[in-house]
Amino acid sequence: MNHFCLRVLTRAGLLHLLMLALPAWADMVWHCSRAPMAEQVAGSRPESGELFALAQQEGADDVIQISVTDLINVYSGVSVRLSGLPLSACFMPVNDSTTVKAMRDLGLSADVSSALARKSAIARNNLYRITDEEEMKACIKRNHPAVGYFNRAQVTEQLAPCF
Amino acid sequence: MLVMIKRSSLIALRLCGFSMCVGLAMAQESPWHLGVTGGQVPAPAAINTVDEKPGPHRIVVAVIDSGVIAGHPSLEGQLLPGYDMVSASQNLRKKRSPDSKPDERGAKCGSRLMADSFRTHGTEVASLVAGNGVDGVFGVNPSAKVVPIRVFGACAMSRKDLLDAISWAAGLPVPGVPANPNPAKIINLSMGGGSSVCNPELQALIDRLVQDQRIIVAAAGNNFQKPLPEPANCSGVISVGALNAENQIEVYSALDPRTLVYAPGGGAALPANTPWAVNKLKVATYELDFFGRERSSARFSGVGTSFAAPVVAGFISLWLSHNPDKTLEDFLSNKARFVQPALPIEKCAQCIPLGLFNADRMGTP
Repeated sequence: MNHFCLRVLTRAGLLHLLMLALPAWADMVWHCSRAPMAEQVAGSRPESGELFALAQQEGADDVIQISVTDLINVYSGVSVRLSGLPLSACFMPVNDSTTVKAMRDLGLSADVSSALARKSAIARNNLYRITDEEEMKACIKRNHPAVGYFNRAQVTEQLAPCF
Repeated sequence: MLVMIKRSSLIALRLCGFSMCVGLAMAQESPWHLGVTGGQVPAPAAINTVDEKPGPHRIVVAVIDSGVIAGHPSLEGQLLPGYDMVSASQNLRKKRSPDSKPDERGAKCGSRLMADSFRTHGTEVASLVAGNGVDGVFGVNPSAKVVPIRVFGACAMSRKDLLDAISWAAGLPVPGVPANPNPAKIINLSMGGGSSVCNPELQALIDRLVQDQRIIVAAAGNNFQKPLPEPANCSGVISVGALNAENQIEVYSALDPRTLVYAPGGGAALPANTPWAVNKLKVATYELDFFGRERSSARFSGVGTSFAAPVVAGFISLWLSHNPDKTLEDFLSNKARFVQPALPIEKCAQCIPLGLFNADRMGTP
């Protein structure tokens, strides 16, 4: 078995384990994009359970590394950069219950949320308004590095919980 | 050179190195999280150390983090030699070395992307411990000295590097690394991860250090109300959750009855029209100017348990500056002197949140 196949299998197994370990339902879970697998470099990386981060997030090693401040900033329309790339934020309509919880957790007011909903603001600030969870997945994948939220934890090749 | 008459007093005269730059800067008020003087109303979560002068003993605090950018004016005179403990395989500089500065802004490790905020994380944390007051960045204990130890860069951070960094911070030998000439009394760990149960090797090291009268402070983690990660879940560690300025547990903070103490950690701005409504900690940081050049700055931008932890580390160092022989056990047995109730949280009935608070003069035995 070549190294690439081994990595694919290892990763698939890890995803399965993560799915089993996650709660079936939670009220809102932040998710971040993961590095496309084709771009990942081989080499020694710490195993799951051996990884640490700067008290800002938890998540798989290939998930983008952002802080709570970055999360607040990007949903407030403030530019955030990762390794030279702009961070994108995906969000569902402001009357969606998950969105209400997400924005409340970030301490953002209804006024800010309304501003986010305006298309012009969205275009300027790397904010993408989508309509449902399927679009949320696609948005996070398409706009890597990106952040979004779901009403329960999900792990795919493109995204994973990150806080 | 900095001449400072009093923390919240009038004028600070700053000479900028060898240049002819002489800045006459209006002194800043102490930031809200330390409290206020002169009969003003303090923020409910303020720790009330603003009038507490450091004692005669110099306390060394290790900041194990992303590295510290040494040239920041608010950290001038506050840093001791540190070390880059990131293993060669995870280090963009390809080896461990005495150069504990962070990875460059925009650094990338393979396809792993890291926010710019992590480059300045260690600098910001250090400033909350021992900021010298320039531009209003006051550490809780400006007489403390910081040993910066880097364990986090653009690549992943490993448990082995963490164990080595903690050992080195405390003066224990680490193979291939020269001894730390300034072993730390207090070790600040603004990080989280690992396992939901403290790893035996990590616990053994912590036990050894506690026995050796070291005090270890760890951030509770920003996992939005989940249980404590490592190292905060280890026995003998002072785990620190985050409060907003109004004395409420921040929503991003881990929520676990084992959290020993809460401290101001900042968050989203508060709606109230109060001096602390900004609800962020003032830190020494760096940002890009109009021309894209990185400049030192002082900003109310600290948000996270990462920033609550150094408030506690600085607080304990201030206490030890009066009482250098005190231990973790002494701190815990005298905890009533150092805390006030924080607002309870419905989601965790077993949690009895205690906010850091200087209820007595620290010089009192």
